Amino acid sequence: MTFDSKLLSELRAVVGAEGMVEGRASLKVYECDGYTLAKAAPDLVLLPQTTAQASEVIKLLAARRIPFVPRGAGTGVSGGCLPGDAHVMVGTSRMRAIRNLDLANRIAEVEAGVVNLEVTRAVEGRGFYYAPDPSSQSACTIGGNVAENSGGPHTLKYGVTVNHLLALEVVLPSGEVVWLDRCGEAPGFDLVGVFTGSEGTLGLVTAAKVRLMKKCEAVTTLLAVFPGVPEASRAVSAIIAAGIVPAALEMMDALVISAVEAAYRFGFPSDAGAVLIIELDGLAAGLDALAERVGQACIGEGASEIRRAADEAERALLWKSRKRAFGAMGRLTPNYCTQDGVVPRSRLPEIVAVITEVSARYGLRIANLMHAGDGNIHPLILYDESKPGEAERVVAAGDEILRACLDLGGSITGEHGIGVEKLGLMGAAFGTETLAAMADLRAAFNPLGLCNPNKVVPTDRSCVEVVRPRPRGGG
Amino acid sequence: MSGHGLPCVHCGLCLDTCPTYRLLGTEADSPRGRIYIMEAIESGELELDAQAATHLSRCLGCLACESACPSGVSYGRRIDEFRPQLAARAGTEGILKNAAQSLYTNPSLVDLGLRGAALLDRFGLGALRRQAPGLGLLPSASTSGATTDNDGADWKVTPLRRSRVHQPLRARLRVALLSGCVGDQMMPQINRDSVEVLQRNGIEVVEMPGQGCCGALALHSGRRDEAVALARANLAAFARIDDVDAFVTSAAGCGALVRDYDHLLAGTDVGEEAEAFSALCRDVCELLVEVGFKTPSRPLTSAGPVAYHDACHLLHARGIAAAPRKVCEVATGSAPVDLGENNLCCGSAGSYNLDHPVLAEQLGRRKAVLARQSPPTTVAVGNVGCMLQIARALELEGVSAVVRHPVQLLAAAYRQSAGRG
Ligand SMILES: Cc1cc2nc3c(=O)[nH]c(=O)nc-3n(C[C@H](O)[C@H](O)[C@H](O)COP(=O)(O)OP(=O)(O)OC[C@H]3O[C@@H](n4cnc5c(N)ncnc54)[C@H](O)[C@@H]3O)c2cc1C
Ligand code: SF4
Ligand code: SF4
Repeated sequence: MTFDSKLLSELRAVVGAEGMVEGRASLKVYECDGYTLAKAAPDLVLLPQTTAQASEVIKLLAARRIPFVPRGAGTGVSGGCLPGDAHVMVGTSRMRAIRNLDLANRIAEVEAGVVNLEVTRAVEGRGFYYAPDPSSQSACTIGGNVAENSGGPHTLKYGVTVNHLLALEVVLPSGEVVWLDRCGEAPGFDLVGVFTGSEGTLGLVTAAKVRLMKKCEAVTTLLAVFPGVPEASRAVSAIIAAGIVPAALEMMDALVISAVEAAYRFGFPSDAGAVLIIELDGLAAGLDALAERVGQACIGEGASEIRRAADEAERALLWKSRKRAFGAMGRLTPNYCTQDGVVPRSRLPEIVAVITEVSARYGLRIANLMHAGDGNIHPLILYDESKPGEAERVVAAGDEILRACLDLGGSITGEHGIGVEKLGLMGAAFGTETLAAMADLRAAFNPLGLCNPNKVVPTDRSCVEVVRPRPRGGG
Repeated sequence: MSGHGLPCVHCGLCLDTCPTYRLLGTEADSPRGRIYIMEAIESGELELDAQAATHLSRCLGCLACESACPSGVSYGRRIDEFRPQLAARAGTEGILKNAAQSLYTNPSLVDLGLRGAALLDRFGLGALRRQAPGLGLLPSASTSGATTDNDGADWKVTPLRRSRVHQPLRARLRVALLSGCVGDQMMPQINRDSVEVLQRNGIEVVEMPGQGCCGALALHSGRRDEAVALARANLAAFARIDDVDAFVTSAAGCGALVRDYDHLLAGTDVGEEAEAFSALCRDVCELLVEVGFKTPSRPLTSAGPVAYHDACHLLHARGIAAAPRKVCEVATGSAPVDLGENNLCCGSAGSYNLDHPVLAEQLGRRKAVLARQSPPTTVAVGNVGCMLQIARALELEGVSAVVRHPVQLLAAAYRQSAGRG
């Protein structure tokens, strides 16, 4: 798409030359996010520095009915940033101010482009932290977190992004700036809740007031080693059934362990079929007893040994291994596709059996990483983009696994969103009436479909084909 | 081109560690973006046009992205392989740049520059001098000890001859010092102090005649052949001395490259020598901590609070974080604090401030602003280039703190202890 020069100069007047990304090389890098199976470069990327600038550029686009797609750090893994019909991208990478830290009330007001981990960094010296901790937290933005309602290992006990939001500043697709506030006990609809998880289809988040948490007095982290994924899955249910809510309850299988071992040399037992990482926090008194009970539950389901992080450094390394496990897959494979599905916790063993079967039938290696406490599975399908037909097989295998999640009473995404990747499954997950209601809701905010069109809720135009792999390279 | 090692899986975890992405916010100026551009050029989807070249050449080579990458992508080697193409493209602009660079590697020209700068500063013309090309990059003597504050160290003689009389009678180790080129000239006292500190710890330091520039500046500017030639010359010098336990550098930038000679020269007729040589190379602080070093009887309290900054080529290229901090701690009697944003490059990066002065200055000023927040009396950093860059930024921001190499602090502590018993 080409833009008339008047529009371009008006946009430039708002964001400055540094805020306008044009030209092939500069734009090409925006053709995908962490989901590399579909690619399309935008024709223009705008990087406003303030809410006022964001509002101005969106007004200019709206006046010409030009749709746009929001982008944070592009760590999304469902193709939410894919331009599709929107030829303009509005990125928040230059909106990085921490506007206010109100520690007395435990509130931080940060701009959308602030990186998740930076919020914690800004307050950790005072004993606070920002709880939602997606594994991508060192890179992903608060705006992206809101859009995807991101969770993390500590979601089990502390909830996902929406549970830590107090207010959102958003630029609606018309360019109007509004604050959606749930700070006071205001009556009426919870619009923050509506906006969170809408994957950029309702407008651009420009800032958020988030809740800060006080660090727990004590924390301890256990590593339980199992002969295989089925035993570990059963242990998850056993722990919860014992009435214990760990701060985190994560599973990695043998393939994932071998990748993180190559990257971080933590010293995971080489013969482990699966491990659970179990974090317990609370008051110091009683933590040992709790750890003992968790240990017993694991042994009861077949754990061969239980280890415990000796100090903060060991704990940090263990979490680094876990949080960077996705990225570490590059050690095993040229490409991989992260799947994201949910099953009721008690049915983890069943979905694991499905995954094993799909893996064998498609001839694709599948590694398993799970926020097991939430029943949130992340099968990582390993492949090689340069092998003809493999990318297509990956998509089909992923689809089968997600459909099995639905059959087991679960969902097609836990935290990575629908984006373009899972549009085709929305019909299987929801009835037409529900989908129509979603479309109506979107239309209330985004009546002209100008903001991130053709995502999340399927339309007749939103079918995305798996593109041909590029001749060579990563992706 | 293949054989780059592990592939980039496009996860984006490296983005926020990249100084240029942090400053500019553009994906093409991020590690993931640069890899994407390089791959697209290799596969013919993109040409290496002016725009692509700009994004690639803005890379500082700080390797923060390698520290962050869970997939083990060897970004640094990859971009270095690309740099000759970038240099070839740069044409006349590149010729000028290389000329400016040779000014920096030509001993007598640097000497002239330093003298000129000192003179202007003496007559209160420092502000004017800082506007001048070339000279503007030099800090004033007071902040960095770069020029007249070298307490007598003379770059014209080898570091070994600069030092006084500390060669041990019975040495427990024998090492040679890789003295480097322009850095040694700008701050000859660092290598002198390195020699002294090693010797005072029972380590014999021997001459290594025939050694020269490590080649880093050339390699990172795309003059790969020149870098290879320089590496070969150093290997030849290495072959002439026998029986050393280690080769020691005090400049992190040189240290990172000499440790990588094995890769640079892999598959050549000197591949094996390069491997042997690389394996013996150590940063001075790294070696001290490895073999143990003495605690001075009186800590150097006059250094005041010390804020340590990690040189990228120690932290990211070599994973050396604890050793220089330990040296500072033993020297001053208390652990240094972090300057802040320690994994973010100061903007020095070899000749970066010649090529991208605006970005370099922004990065430098960020350090000075951090230094102002919790005023340190001394900023410690283990690389001459970073020392100059930070000293200059402190000056620009009007922050009064001196910049020292950790071994300088240790040498001063030893001297003070010896002096007062
Ligand atoms: C290695 C790795 C690990 C991950 N681990 C987790 C995990 O543990 N938990 C988890 O939940 N996710 C995880 N993710 C997915 C991803 O990091 C999250 O979805 C994250 O919130 C995306 O943030 P971002 O800033 O990168 O957003 P982007 O990828 O840039 O965008 C994601 C979506 O949000 C929209 N968007 C972005 N910014 C805004 C804004 N300001 N306003 C409105 N819409 C916006 C975009 O249009 C897009 O649809 C992981 C990803 C990777 C690569
Ligand atoms: S080397 Fe430094 S500047 Fe270059 S891409 Fe990596 S992090 Fe960015
Ligand atoms: S270089 Fe490493 S960290 Fe960066 S996107 Fe590629 S795989 Fe991820």
